[in-house]
Amino acid sequence: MKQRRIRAEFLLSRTVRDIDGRRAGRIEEIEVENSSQGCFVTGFVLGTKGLLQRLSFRGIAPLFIPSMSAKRQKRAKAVPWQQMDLTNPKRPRLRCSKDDL
Amino acid sequence: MSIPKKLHLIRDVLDKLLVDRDNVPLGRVDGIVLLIGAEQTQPRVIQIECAMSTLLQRLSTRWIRRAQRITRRLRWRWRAPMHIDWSKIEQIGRELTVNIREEHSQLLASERWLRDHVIRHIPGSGINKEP
Repeated sequence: MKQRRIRAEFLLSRTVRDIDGRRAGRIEEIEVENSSQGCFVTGFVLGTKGLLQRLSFRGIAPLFIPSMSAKRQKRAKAVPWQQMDLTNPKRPRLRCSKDDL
Repeated sequence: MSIPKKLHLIRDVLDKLLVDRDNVPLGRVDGIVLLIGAEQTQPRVIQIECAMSTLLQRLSTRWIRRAQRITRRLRWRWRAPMHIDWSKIEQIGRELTVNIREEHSQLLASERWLRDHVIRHIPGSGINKEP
C-alpha cells in the first residue's frame, strides 16, 4: 500500500465494523504518543468512552446525564492501531473480531 | 510546558487556538493530517491544517462546493489550506504554540492586507501612515 494522507477529523464518528461485519462502534477519539521521532497514533477509542474523553467530562457526566453511565463506558473499546484497517478511511474495519478487543 | 507525551488528538489539538512565539493569535487548528503507510506501519501525525475550506469540509462537502461556486462567481481567489508541520509545534496547553513568527506567516495575510490598505487610512487608527 502506498503512503497516503488522510484527515483525522474525517475519521471521527465513522462506524467501525469488525472482521465479521458486525458494528463495533464509532471512532470518537484518537490517542497519540509524541516522541523525538514524531507523533504516532497508538489507538482509536470507540463508543461513548471516546466521546466523553473528547468532551472532557468523563468523570462528571454521569451525574448530569444518567444515560452516560458506567455501563455504557464498559461497552466502549480502545482499539490499538495494529487492529484498525484504514485502507478505506470512509469504512474503517477491525482486523479482528469485536469480541477479541 | 512542552508537548505532553500522550495526547488525545481530537480533544487536545483540534479547534485549539494557534499562537506564535510572541503569543500573537494566528487562527485555529481546522484539520489534522495523518500519514498512513503500509499495513504494519504506525500512522503518524504530520501536519496541522488551517483553512476555511477545511472547516467547511468538516461541516459538509456540499457546503464547500457551494462556497467554491460563490467565490468563483465573485472572482475571488480560493486560498489553499495552510499546513504547519507537527515538528513546528512547541507547546500544547490551552493554546498551541508554534515556532513561526506572525510576520512570516501566510495565516494572517488577509489581516495584514486589511491593516495596510484600509485601517491605516482611518484617522485615529493608531497605525503610522508611513510603513
